[in-house]
Amino acid sequence: MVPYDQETIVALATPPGVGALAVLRISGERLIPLYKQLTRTPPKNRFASFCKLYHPDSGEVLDEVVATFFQSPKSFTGEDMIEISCHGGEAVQSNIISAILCGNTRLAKPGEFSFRAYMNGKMDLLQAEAVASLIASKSTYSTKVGLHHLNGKVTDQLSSIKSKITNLLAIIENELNFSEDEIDKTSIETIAGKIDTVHAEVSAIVEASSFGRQIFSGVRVVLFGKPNSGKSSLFNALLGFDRAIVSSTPGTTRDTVEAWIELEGLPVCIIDTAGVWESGEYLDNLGVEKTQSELDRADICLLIDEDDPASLKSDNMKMPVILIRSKLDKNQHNEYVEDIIQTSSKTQQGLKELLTQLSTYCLRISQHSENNSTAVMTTRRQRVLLKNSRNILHEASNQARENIGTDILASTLRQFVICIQDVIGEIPNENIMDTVFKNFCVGK
Amino acid sequence: MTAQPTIVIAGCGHAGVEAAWAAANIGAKVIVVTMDTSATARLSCNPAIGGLGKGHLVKEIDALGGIMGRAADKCGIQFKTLNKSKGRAVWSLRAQIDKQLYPRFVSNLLHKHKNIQFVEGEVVDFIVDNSKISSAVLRDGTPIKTNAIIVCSGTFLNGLIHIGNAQFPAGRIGEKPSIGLTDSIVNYGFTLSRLKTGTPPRLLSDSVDWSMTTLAQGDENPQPFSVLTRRPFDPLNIPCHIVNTNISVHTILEENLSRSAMYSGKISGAGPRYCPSIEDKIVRFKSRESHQLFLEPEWMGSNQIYVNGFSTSMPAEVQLEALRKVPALKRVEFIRPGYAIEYDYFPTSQLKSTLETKSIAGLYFAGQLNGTSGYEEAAAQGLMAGSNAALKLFENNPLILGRHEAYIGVLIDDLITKEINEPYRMFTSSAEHRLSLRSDNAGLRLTEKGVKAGLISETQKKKHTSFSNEVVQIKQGCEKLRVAIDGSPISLHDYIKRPEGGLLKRAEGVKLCDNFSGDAIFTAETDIKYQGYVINENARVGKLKKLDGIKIPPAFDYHILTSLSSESREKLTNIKPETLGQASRLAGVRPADIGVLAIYLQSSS
Repeated sequence: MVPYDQETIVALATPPGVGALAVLRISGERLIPLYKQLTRTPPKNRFASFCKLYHPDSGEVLDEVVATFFQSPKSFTGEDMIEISCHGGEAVQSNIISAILCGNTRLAKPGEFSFRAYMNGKMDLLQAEAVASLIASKSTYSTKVGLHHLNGKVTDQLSSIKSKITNLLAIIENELNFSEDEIDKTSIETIAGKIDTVHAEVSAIVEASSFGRQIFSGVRVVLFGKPNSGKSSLFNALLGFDRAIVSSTPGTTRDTVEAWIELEGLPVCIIDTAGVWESGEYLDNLGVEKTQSELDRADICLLIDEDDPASLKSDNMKMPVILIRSKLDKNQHNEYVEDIIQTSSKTQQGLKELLTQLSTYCLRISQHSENNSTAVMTTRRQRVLLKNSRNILHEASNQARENIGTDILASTLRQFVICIQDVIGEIPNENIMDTVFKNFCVGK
Repeated sequence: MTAQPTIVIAGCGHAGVEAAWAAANIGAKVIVVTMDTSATARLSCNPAIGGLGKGHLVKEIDALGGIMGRAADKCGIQFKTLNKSKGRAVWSLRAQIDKQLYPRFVSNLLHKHKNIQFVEGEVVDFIVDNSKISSAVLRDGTPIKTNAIIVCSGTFLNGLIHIGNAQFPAGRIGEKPSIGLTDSIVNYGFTLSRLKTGTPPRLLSDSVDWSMTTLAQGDENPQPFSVLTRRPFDPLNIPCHIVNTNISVHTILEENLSRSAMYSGKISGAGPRYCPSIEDKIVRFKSRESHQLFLEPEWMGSNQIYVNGFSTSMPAEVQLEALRKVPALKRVEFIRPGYAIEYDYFPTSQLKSTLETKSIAGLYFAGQLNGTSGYEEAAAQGLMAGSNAALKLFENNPLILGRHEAYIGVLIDDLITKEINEPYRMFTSSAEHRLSLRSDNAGLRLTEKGVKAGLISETQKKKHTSFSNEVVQIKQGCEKLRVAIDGSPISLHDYIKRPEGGLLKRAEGVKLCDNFSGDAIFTAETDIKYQGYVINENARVGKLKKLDGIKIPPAFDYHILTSLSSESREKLTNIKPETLGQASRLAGVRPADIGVLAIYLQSSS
């Protein structure tokens, strides 16, 4: 018996809809009988067989499929599993699923396959979170980071940080356990120095993790400029197809419009905003608000104007900005101004330069993580805990220097260790379980 | 009303006396069976009580109405608070004890108790009726009808002394071992293992050249262990003496390593790492050219000197030859050599947190046979076993202390969840709530619980109430009083929280404390200083504590959880932890498996 209901579950593992092929997954305790029923052949472990799929009751042939049997425990969930690649038509898929549902099988809940894998010791919590990230990942690079987690490399790095502090704690605890005349005392400088080294390491991960958000949630590029300054045209040019409505009436883009592209392996979200200059219309006020909130979340801002894009700059723009002079095809500016990209959406002039700049920014993010081989925290839960743990170390460092008492210092360091254990998932915490598995989709 | 229940205590060392005292105070009829009634509460090793971690235990025993603290105060000849440079939570009191006075004082106390009766003899067997103790059986075959037996046999179960190549059965030097009880216990399905411990030689005082030693004095303002001890406390302050080993000493020991009982492999039991023999120290700390030895008088005016730091199982002549290389000990003579002793212990995963065995109701184990080392650890277990045996027979709630409440709680939880490979000694590092578990607040933490259990005398109750009231009043006063610091007024409370702050450093504080006791002032000040850190500590441990609230049914079948790793499953099946918290602390159980177990227990409840 397993620590969850023992029912056999089935789900579509590929996205719903019509495709060339679709993959179905079945997981349960003993699936050999079901496999035989469905294919009328005995299963061969971990072997993909091309066969006919029969309806268990009517005996009707449902499709020609490739079926693979994975015998417990060597499967994703740790249970017996059957994977069926069938033809992609919706009718075929739903026929097969309803045929499978005839027996003691039910539809899987979101994340249930991963949950079973976790419960069967096939993955730890960080790995489970990685699966969730992988599913949601929008780009090549986030897939890579997700895989990094899935392989347990992040766990390794955090474990190494943990063990550095545990070793330091061992020294401190040892000194607390023996009286002054029994053993020598380690100097405060040595202790503080060791804490600072680890603090730097944790800080690096925290820093890298702001990139982590960008890797997973995407780099947000906001187009900003006066009405009719050519934002939407540029937006469309960047995407290479007509996504936004382009018209010459100011204020057409009343709400924001966004679209995704991939640059240097990172997902990039390009956001077209409403003009900030009021036209007196009610709808535009809404648009202005929306624009402000987009600006607050932006990683990069493109300031667009026909004449003087620099004039759009304000002090509360903390993100990097790129200045763009638009509609070059209409207005001939002969003088070259440094740091301003001259563009024309019509003639595609300057677009390459703009894309290069954006790519450079993205490259910096992905290289940052790659070169540092620093663990990147992919979920908010991980980032918050890690920030806490950095603050705890900072406090410990101060306590060591203030010579406040090794009993208190040791307590603070213990707090750090627990915080890191929490990130790795070494401490069972049912709330984490809920949140982690809640974010899954069906079929994983 | 039912008849007064009977509890038999087998053995009368530090565990036995506390067990007897606690059970008798709760109201049980206690029969102490001991091989030698004059050997009550003997200090078989060092002439000292307390020390790091252990001092905390003594304070807690005292807060729960036990004997050890008051006896140490009465029979102490030097008092010293250790670790004063390392933060108040780890300050620990140690007292040098007069070894002759102490057993006499304790014995008197027990003999005067109306519920305690002594029987000279040896418990070798017991009768179990329906998985419940019904009688203890003495060596001569006499059965004693009883509702419970607390076995406190110390190192006596199949005790075997080693001195160099020589070995002979003994419970302590000069005392017979206890043979037979082990077999009876094993016959009931208990598993058994061996441990060893050692003791240094005793020197003839006249043979030491005292002029070549360094003095080690006690504190000038000594603190007592017990709340019952009258203030101001003005005990004796008899000095100890320090000498140092040197290369010549080490060379002799090294050359004879093969003749050490421990190094020649004659002892199968594991020895303690933290109280190592001198041969162990010179092997493990090869680079150190010298180790400190304390020469401690065993009692007032004693001609017998204990060599603290020179525990050994070398042949007597090697011990002597080596020690004589220390200038002050050039002409030293032995009263008796150091020796190692090997004895049976019962792995404590077989016990519940009340120290009752899991398989036989009414059978309790306390003290060194549970694999612990030290008088204080033994006494603490005795107190808990005695209390719980009596409370159960009176059908009252058990006295179980959490890891967050007491070192005693940590000790017992460690015993029943951790695998012991060497004698267990109490360390402050074992307590995750170390900042709350201070020596000075033991009463505030525990005495109310003691009152509920029926362990606390009227006198102690009064003292406790007045102490806790004083602490509260001082703390309230500190919040109200304002002091000017650098020209701006802040509350005295906030001033005390500063690293440099202190209650008596300001005239306002001195005035506030005018009528309060020194103990209350110290505790109030420390409470204020530690408050913020304790809150952090509690938040940190709170997560873990939640797991202690999740009970695992005693008959839980771990085999139904096929997903557990086989190692975890085996551990859990053998040990049968009472709560998820205990399960999570078992060595060798994977965290992921605890996660699985947690989800299962929650979904099935």
